[in-house]
Amino acid sequence: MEILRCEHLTKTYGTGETAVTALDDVSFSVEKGEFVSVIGPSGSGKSTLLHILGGVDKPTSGKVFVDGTDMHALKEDKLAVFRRRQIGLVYQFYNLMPVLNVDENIALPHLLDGRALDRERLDQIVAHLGLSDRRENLPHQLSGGQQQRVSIGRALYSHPAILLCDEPTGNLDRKTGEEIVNLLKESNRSQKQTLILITHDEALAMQADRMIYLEDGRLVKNEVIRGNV
Amino acid sequence: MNNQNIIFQVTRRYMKRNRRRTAITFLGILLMVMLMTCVFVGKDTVVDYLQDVAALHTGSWHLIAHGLDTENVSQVAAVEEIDQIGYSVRLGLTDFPASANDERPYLEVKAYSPVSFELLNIHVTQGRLPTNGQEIVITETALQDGSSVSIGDVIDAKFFDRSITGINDSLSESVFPFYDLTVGYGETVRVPLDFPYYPENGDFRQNKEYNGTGGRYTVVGIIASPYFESEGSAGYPALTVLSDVSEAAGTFSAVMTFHLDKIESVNEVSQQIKEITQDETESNNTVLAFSANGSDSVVSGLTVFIETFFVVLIMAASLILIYNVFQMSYRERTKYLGMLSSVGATGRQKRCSVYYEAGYLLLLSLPLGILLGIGVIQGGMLLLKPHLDKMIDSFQVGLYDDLPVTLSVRLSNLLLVVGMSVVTVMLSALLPARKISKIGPVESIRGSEGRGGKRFRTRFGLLRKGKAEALLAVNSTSRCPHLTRGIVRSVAAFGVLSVVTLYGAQSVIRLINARLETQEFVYNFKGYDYVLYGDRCFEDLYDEAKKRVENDSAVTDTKEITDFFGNSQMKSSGFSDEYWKGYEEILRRYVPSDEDAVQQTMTEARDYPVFLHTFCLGDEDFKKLAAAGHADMSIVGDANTPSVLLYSKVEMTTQNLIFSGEKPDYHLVEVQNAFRCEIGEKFPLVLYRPNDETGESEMVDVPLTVAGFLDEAALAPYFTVHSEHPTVIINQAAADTIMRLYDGVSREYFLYDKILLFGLREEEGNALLRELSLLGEQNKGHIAVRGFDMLNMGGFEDAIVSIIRILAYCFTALISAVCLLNLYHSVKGRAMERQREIAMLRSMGMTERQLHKMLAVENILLLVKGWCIGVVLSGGFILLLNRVMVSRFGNITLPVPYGLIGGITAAVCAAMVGMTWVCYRFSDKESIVEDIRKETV
Repeated sequence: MEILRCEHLTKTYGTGETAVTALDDVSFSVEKGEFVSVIGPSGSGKSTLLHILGGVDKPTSGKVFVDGTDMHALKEDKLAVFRRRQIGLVYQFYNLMPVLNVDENIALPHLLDGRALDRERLDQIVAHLGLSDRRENLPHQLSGGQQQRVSIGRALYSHPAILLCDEPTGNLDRKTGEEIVNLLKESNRSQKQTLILITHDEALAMQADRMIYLEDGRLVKNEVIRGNV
Repeated sequence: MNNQNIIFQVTRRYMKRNRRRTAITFLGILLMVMLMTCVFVGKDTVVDYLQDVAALHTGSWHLIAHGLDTENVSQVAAVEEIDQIGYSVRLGLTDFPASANDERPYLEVKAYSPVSFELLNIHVTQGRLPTNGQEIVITETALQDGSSVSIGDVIDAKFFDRSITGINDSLSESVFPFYDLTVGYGETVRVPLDFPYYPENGDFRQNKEYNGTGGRYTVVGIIASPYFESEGSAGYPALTVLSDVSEAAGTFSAVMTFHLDKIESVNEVSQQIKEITQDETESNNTVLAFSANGSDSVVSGLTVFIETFFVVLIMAASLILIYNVFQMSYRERTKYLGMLSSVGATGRQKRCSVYYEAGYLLLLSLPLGILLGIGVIQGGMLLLKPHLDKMIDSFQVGLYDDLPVTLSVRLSNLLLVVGMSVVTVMLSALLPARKISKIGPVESIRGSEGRGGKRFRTRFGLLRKGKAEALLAVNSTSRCPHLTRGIVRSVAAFGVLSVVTLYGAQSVIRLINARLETQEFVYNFKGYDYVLYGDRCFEDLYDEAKKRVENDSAVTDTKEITDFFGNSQMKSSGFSDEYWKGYEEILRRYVPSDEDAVQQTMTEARDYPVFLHTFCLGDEDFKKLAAAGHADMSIVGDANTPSVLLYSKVEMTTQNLIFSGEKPDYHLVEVQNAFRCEIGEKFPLVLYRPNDETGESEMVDVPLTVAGFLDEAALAPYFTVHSEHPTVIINQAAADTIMRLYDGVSREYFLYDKILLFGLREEEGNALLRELSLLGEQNKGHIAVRGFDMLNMGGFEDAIVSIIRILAYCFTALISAVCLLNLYHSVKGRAMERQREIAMLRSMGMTERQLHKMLAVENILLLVKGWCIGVVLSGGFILLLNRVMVSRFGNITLPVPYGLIGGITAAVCAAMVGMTWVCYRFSDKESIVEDIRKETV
């Protein structure tokens, strides 16, 4: 079942002679529960693609359908609601709210949706992420790995349709990075969570079901690694 | 390149890179320098201008010494502190046949040296000033009274002095209390210059004592009425020239100015001159007061107080502003200083970096700020000047020429501005510099300083309710002090400084008002344009004019006010203990150590009735007043019962209550409840009714019922009262009772006044005004029509008070502007630092509505915090100010301006909402991704 489809996505920054094309006619689709890695060198348009798929940036042209909804046709407020319900974003630099502790950061998107806290689920996620003894700490009091785990917990807490991860291990040491990837893979496997992971680490990309290769903003390879989807 | 240079170089590069923050800090320092310049240059400019205004009235002299003989003249002239000196000699009175005023049949002739003409601001309205001892100028009052004198006329003068002799053998003595004069039967006493003209009557006779001098004078000019002219005196001032003081005879007066910048105290120099002359000296307090040199220590003290008060407030506002600016960029600064620290920069070097930035920006700000400050004062005075001129003109103090405003830029003041700016900036940088120097490199780079291992409890209450906006707002205001303290501080500073400034300005105005005793009664009636005055001796004429006004179709409204002040008195038994306590308090100021004199005076005072302001405004207003005050409406409703409403407040001062003894410093006692009686009781009003047959006065009780009491608020739509006499309002029945009691009594002895206020439609009413004016002319001014504003025209002091009021409010506005800017900087700084945070929230799906809600809750929390701190601090400062002012300047009630505090609170709230809206607009315009990528301010 197709959960995400993008059609002829193009993103251009600037105009005239100074115009830079970050994405150039990119089209692909992702099935529900699939783990897709997007790989490419620096400046290939990976992050731009992820931001457009996450609804935090707009394409110059082209469309993105998430579960059949044309995301960028939605008005600003509806898009915001759509984003918090359907998309979970994990950034390289975590982007946690500095004034919220671990519990509050994880529950935030859920709360933004006007829903009351599911304490049981929060406890489960915190325990699963190994953050039980850091629940009342602010992000600045956590290590990089712990912050990224909080970021993943926040993305997973409200069962989004798609989990988008932008170089989630790029800022971590190898061991911590592996732990984070395992967490993501486990979530993908156990909860059939659709996962799109951006990386320039080929070894990490190879752990996905499918790998999309971007170069100079163009999709140059869309390769199935494991045929179980 | 040494190590210090590299620190400074890196600091400069960061300043360049973070242009916005640098610009904000620069702007803050620039504003402070500008404001300091405004205060010091503004103060001097305003004081000099006020001195010029004051000099328009009295002249620019500082001291007049009387009673000098020729030897004293040279001794006084040798006093080093004197800048300019002029002399005058009184020649005497002479008959003035051209006078048209029966009560002023003489000329009072004085000879002035040229400097005296200048220092006493003698201004010619026609012709020219005299150039020799055979020429003379006469006051324009003579012409206004209808005199036929004109330029070119010759006056033959035979000078004399006046005295009076008691001729009534049945009167042991005649007392003239206002002239401190008593004359017994057969006794002859010299009368003072301002003594009115009394033709011979049954009690005493006026004598002319010729001194054998005289002369022939040619009238060469008409002068504006000099400040010393008393309209009640028998002679019109006339001035000739005193050519050579050494050759003249008589007793001289010397008028002089001092080098104020070279003397410590005018009083000391006055004392020195007084010792030479052994006679009285006269200080020009209206001019000296503004340079805090007046002989009146209270006014001088007030001047110093006002200056200090505003300088301290401006400094406080600037200190908070710059400190906030430094604190705002604290986190960003710690990052780059942390990086420097990681490569070996010491704490001292980090401190130096902060000081370097402060000093660098201060250096750039100083010249620009000083120039801007001077420009603001110049512009401000130009803007204010037309209003000030209009005001001075309306008070008829004689704005002869366009009085220029000259900027007073003194080097000493500019050096003071530089010094105070350096101190303020360095003090503001001190704390952040010290803090930064103590933070380790890792903490600095991570921005986690001061947090340690502290845990922050999860707010499950808000989580369970799904209140994301509230959760974010509560946490961001409580867990991020470095961003919120600035705003809380700004809100508190806004409130405290605005409230304290307004309170101070209001109190100072009130003190000056009370001190200068401007208007005993201010008429606050609305909707009236003109006032019809009538002479009580020509009641029929007044009634005729009143009828014409009431019947004219152009008249919109009329109101008659009858004032029985001259006749109505109250028995001393009707006064409360509080009244007598206040009375005694003032008395003790005169005789602080003479208990017997106090007891005797108090006993005597309790034996005599006291004058009472008794107004009748008609029954309709009587009822309105009663409803606004505390009254028994059943008494008020009975129009046939003579009843009275009592305004209980009385203001007794050492100026309006005079006792024998040494004149004390100014002191004021406000008696809140002057009366002893209760509602429904009889009011002890008495009238002195002269008996035409016996010639004796008899005391008559007037049966009035106390209907209720009035406070300031109730009386405010009608009058503002600052009087040592109690004020009562009576109904029509009471007024009729009084009028009946005076049936058959000559109006000369029935001292009541009636005025008719009336509103008039423009143009349509011109015919009526012409008609009334003609009626007045035909009847020698026994009726007159004046503009309503004339009622409240107190004179020169009012002009000064009004100017001070404008300036005080300008300073308040200036301080409020700094506070507003301070608040804006804090809100803007926080918004800039949160740009990434807001973008993160939006990336997680926060809608605009949720964002606004979060910001609104944050604003409420910050405002409440700031307000609470503001209330506590304002309360403390107000209490302190109150204590200082009351103890120093008199026992005056200085009400806390609760309305203004409410207004300021509303203004702060509105400012916060507006600023939040402006400062967080970026979140609508730029994309989330761009905002997320931003890391620094």
